[in-house]
Amino acid sequence: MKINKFNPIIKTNQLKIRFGDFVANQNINLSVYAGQIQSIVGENGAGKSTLMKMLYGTYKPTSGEILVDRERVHMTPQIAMRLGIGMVFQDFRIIPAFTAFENIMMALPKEKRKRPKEEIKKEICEISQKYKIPVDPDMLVGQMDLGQRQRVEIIKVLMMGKMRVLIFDEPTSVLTQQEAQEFIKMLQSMRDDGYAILLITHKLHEVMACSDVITVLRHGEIVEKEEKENGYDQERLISKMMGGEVTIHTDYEDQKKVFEKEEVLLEGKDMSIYNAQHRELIRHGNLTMKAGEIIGLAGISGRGQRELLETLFGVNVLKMGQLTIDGKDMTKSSIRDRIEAGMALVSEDPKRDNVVAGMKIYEHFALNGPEISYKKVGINWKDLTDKMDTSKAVKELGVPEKTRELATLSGGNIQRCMLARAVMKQPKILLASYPSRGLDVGTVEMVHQTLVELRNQGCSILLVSEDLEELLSVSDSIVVISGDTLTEKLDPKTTSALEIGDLMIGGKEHER
Amino acid sequence: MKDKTESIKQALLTVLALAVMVVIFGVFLMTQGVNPIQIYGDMIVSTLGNSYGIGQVVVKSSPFIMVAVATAISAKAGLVNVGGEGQLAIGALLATFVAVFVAKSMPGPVGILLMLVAGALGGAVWSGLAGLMKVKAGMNETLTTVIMNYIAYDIVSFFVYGILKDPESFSWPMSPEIADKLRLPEIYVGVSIGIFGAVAVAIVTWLVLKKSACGFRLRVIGGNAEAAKHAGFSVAKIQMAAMLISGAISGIAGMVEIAGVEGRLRTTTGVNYGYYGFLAAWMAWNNPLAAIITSVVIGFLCVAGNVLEQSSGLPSSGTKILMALVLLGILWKGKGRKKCS
Repeated sequence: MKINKFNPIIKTNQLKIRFGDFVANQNINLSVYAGQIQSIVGENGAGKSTLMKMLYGTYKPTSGEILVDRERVHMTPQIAMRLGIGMVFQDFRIIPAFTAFENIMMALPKEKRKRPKEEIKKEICEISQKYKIPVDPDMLVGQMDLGQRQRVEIIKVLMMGKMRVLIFDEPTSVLTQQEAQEFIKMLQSMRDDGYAILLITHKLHEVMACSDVITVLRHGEIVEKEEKENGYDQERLISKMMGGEVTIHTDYEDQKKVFEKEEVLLEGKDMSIYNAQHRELIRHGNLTMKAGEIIGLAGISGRGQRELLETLFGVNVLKMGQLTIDGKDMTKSSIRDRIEAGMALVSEDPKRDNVVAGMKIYEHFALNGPEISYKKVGINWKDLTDKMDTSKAVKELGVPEKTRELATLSGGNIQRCMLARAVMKQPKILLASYPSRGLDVGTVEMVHQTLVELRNQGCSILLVSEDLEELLSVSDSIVVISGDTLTEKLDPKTTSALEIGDLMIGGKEHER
Repeated sequence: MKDKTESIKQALLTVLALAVMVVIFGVFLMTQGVNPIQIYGDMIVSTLGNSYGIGQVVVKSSPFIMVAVATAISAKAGLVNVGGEGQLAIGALLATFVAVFVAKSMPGPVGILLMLVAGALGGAVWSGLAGLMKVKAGMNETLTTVIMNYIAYDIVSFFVYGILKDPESFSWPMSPEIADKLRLPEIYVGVSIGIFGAVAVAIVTWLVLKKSACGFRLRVIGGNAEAAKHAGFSVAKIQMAAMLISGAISGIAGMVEIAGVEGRLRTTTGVNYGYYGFLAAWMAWNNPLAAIITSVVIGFLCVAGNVLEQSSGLPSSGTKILMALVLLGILWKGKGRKKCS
C-alpha cells in the first residue's frame, strides 16, 4: 500500500496535557499515515507514553485536538477501537489465570464473541502465521514468558476490530535481542499490509533500520523529526534525545581532597545480575569501588541498575560471580552483614523499600541510619533525635519536621530523608539511586555537595542517575551499562555526554 | 492540642457508629415482633446489673483478651493469625494431659505452673507449625491457621473420646475433672484470677510493642516487610518468633479455661473463643489495650445473648448479628480514621 501523504489517519493540533502543575506534553503536532512506521523516541519521562495514551483515549488532553480522518474526535478507548486504533501496552492487559484463547475472547467485541470457537481459533492461527507470531491458544498466560505474553496481546489487539493504527509502548523492553529482531520483522510486514505503526521506544538503534519517520520527544515536546528518505543523522537524534545543549555544570573537582589511600572497598568480579523474571541483565560484570571515589553508573533505566545495587546490598543473591567487601568474601552474606560492614543503600523506590506506614520520620532513622543507643530494652529515641537535630545533612538536605509521618510526604521529601539517613550512618560504601530525583535545583546542589563531602571523608559512592550532566559533574569515574555489560571506568573529564549516550543506547559491539 | 481534639472526635465517631448499629439491630428486633428497648434493657440489667452477671462477663472476656493480644502480636509482625482457636484448643489439651496424668500428685502451685507451661507449649507448637509453613514454604498463614483450627478440634475430640475420657462419665466425651489443688484461685464465685493474667498480658504486650526495641522491629516488619529487610532484619526469624509467642499466649488461654473455668476438657471447651478473640483484636486495630475493651464488649454480648433467648424467644445466636453489626461499625469508623491522618 502506498503512503497517502495528504490524508493522515490521525492528526493532532497543538495537543497539550497537564497533570497538576506538571506539563507532560505540549505543542504536539503529529500525523500518522497508513503504511508507515513512525518511531517516537525519547528518554524516560520525555512524555512518550502519555502522548500515546492521549491518542488512544486513556488520557484526555488539556487542550488541542485530535483529528481522525479529518474529523475532530473526543477520544476514549472505546471510540479508538471503533476507529481502528489499537494499543499494545507496556504492562499487558491480559489475565494470567486464563489461557491465551480465553484472554482474546474476552477482549473481542460482542458480535464477534458469538461466533463459533473454532472459527475464532482459526483466525488466531491465521494471524499468527501471517505475521509469524507463534502463539499456543490453549496455554495459560501465567505460564508464558513476557515475550509470549506480548504476542498474545498483539493478536488480541489485532482481533479487536478492523485495526488501522497500532500503537506499541516500549515493546522491545521485554524481549531478548533475538525476539526483538523477530518483532521488527513483524512490524515491517504489518506496515506492508497497510497498518500505521506507532512505536514508542528509547532504544534508538533498534528502530533506526525499520522506521519511516523518527520523532524525538524531550520534556514533553517534539524536538526533532527525521524521515528515512532524507537519511537519519544518528548523532543529531541522540543529542536531541539527551538534550545535547551544552550546559555549564559545577565542577566539584577543586573540592576534592586527594584521597591518599587507594584502598579497594568493594570488588565485584564476573557478576551476573538477574531481574525478578530470571532474565540476565548484566553478564560478567566487574566493578571496583575505592575509598574516596564517586562512580557514576549510567545506563538506560531498567537495564539492571536496580538489580545491580540490590545484589551489591544483598537483597538479591549473587548467583554467579564473586563479591568482596573490605577484603572479605561477602558473596553470600546477608544484608545485615553488609550493613555492619558499612554499607548503605538509597533505593530508587523508597516507598516500596523503606517507608513503613504509620511511622514517623525519626523512627525511620533507626533503620540503617546513625548508630542507635539503647535505654534498657528500648531504643534511646532522645539520643537519636538529638543526633538528627545536630546533623548537618538533615539540615542541609531539608529533612521535614521529624515527627511527621514519612508515608504522607511527597516523593522528593522522602528522598531527602532517605539520603540524610544514609549520610548520618557515615557509610563506607554508599549505593545511591537517583538521590536528586524530584528535588528542586537548590536541593539538588545540596545533594551533590553532600555526596562530595562524603567522598572526601573516604566513602566510596556508586551513584545511579539518568541525568548525564549530573553524573559527569559529580563523578570521579563513569561506568556505563552498555547492552548487557558494564564498561570499564571512563574518565568524565575526557568523555562527553554524547559518547556515554552512544554507549548507553548502542552497546553496539555487544548487541550483535 | 490538635491530637487531643482529634482523638475526642474519633471517640465520638466510634460511639456514633456503634449507636447506629444498635439502632439497626433494634429495627431488626422490631421486625421480629420484639420490643428492642425492653430487650436492650434486659440485656444490660441481667449482665451488668448484678455481681453474678458481671462475673460471667469477666469469665467470658478473659480468653478473648488473651487471644486478641496473641492475634495483635502476630498482626504487628504482618501476619494474619486466625489460629487462636486451634492454638487455644491444643493448649487446653496439653494442660489437661499434664493435670490428669502428671501433676495429680504434685503440690498445687507446681502443678499449675506445669500446666501453664504445657498450655503455652501446646499453643506455640500449633502456631509454630503454621509459622514454619509461612517462612519455609511461603504458605499463606491465614489459610494454614484456619485449616489447623479444624485439625486441632479433631485432635481434641480424638483424645476426649479416647484415652482422656473420664471412666466415670458414662461415655460422655470429657476428661476427668482435674484435682482441686490444680484449679486457679478464685477472686469471686466462679471467677478465677485468669482475668488478672489476661489484663497483665495485654498491658505487658502493649508496653513491649510500644517501648522496646523488639516491639519496634516487629512494627517495622508489620508496616513494611521490605523496609525491615532493607534494614537488615531477619524477617523470617522475627515472624517465627511472633508466631510462637502468639501461639503460646493463646495456649495459655486454653490452660486458663481448664484450670480456671471448666475444670475438665470437653469437645466444646473454648469453641469459637479463638474467633471472638480474633474479632476483638481487629476491632481494636490490634492495639492490646483497646483489645481489653473490645473483648469485654464481645464477652458482654455473648452473655447477653442468653437473655435474648430467654426473654424474646429469639435464638441466642441472634446476638451474633449484633456482633457483626458492631464490627462493621468499627470498620466503618476505621475507614474514616485513615482518611483523617
